Amino acid sequence: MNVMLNLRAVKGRAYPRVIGALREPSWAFWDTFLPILSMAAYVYVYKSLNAPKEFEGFVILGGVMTTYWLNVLWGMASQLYWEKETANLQLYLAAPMSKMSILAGMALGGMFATTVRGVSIILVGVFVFQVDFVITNFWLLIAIFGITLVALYGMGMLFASLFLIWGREAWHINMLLEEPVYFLSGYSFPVKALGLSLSVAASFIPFTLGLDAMRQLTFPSMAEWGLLSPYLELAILVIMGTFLVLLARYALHYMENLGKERGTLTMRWQ
Amino acid sequence: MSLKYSMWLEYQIEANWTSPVIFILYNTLKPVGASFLLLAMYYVVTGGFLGGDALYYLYIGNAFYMLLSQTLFSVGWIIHDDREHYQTLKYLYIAPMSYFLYLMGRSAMRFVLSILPLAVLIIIGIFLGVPYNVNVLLLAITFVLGWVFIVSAGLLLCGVNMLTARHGGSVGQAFAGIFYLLSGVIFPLAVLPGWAVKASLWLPSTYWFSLVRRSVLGGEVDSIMSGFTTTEAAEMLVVLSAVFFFISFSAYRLADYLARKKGMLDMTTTY
Repeated sequence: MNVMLNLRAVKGRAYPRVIGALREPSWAFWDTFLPILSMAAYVYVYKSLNAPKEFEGFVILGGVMTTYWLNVLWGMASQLYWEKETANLQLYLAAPMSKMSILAGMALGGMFATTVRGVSIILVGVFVFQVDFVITNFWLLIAIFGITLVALYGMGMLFASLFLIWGREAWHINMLLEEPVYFLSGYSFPVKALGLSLSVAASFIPFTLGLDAMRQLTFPSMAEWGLLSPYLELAILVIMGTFLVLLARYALHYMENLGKERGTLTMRWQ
Repeated sequence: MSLKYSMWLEYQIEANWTSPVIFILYNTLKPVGASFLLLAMYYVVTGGFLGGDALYYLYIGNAFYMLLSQTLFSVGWIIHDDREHYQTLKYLYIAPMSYFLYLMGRSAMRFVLSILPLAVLIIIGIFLGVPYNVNVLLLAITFVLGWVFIVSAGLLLCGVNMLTARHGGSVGQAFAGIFYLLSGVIFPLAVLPGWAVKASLWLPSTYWFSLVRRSVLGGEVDSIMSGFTTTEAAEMLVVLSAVFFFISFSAYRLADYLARKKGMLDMTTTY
């Protein structure tokens, strides 16, 4: 494997996203400011119910993690489908680097704008809603956050390969993976409230466990709402992240070959 | 004719990728997921699902918000879809029809398609003990007025999209967040800061959701909105919708002019 070639491919695919974000600042309004409003509505629901202040913090943290989930869905999973529709896909496939480098470049480029949005949400939480984050173990928090992102983007890469052979179904499945997943993963409430069986099922979505662990580490007074110990959740996330990235690599290769056999890689508007 | 065929097109784009049964399921799961999210929030605070004005308030508000959210989600995507995905925007412009009417038709069909999940949510509400007291005439008027306001919001969004790049896939949903926060959809307006309450009283959606609650639940529990009679709320909705439509239409026309002038009708952004 030519490492330099693949690193250049990562940089090359990340470049238009970073440059696009700087050249067209309209994303800051659409992708940062407006989504915060919906999240703020959930905070006000808790205020109207006189809920403990920590629940407002739960929404803030959920808002940060769903930002990455949305980026995974729209910036990763559906991107190869979108590249196929805009006739870029065949150029990627003809180029001599690994396709995983293209996906890694998309992920890194997308993380720029996503992280800006995530940080904005935290700032709104701290300065507008006066949420107190009491971090009990900083390094564990960072580790869980990082591993959750690896698992999330691994899932995005896996979806990207699946979406490669689908047509418009891919688009609609993306939409279906928003609100129902918000509910199952406990975006705005502790996932433990769903009961054991549903919580375990929801744990297959990486940010369910990541979010639950981060909430335990930032709101220790609400520890009784934690699903599992943060260390155990970290271990599960490491296994999940490794498995998803490896599976994505295999699936990408398999779907590419399947697409070639079926002649669907250049088929547009299906 | 443009209206009729654009409605047909919207239906085909939204529904013909799968069987009707799967489409109905798909069309329903998203709003149901959003409602369950709110029910779970209510549950973790109160420890139950039954008996409470706050629950009925947020449940009905959220169910009808799906009309707004799903229509704007779809309308917010039309320009980018036509321009960059199907790359047909320039052909639609030179076709012997009005692109404005085309947008109206597509948003009208999306609005109609969103009524099905609303009906499902209303039925689920029966099991939650929502005390329905439906005023059919008022509800029908509310629907029509709501469509005018929602289409106006969609038109404004289309105008903006003509001049902006495609960054994400859910700008319409993000735009709908303004109304979700400021219209008293899932919590009473009094919870908001004073300046936000003042801003919300200038939004047609605030009066629309108030009329929704009056027509479905038989009354208004929001302490601020109950200061308006039903007639006053309807009058405010008509006036503000008309103003909103005028502003949206003007913005759309301006964006349309600028997009032609700057040669952006066939722009593609492959970020």
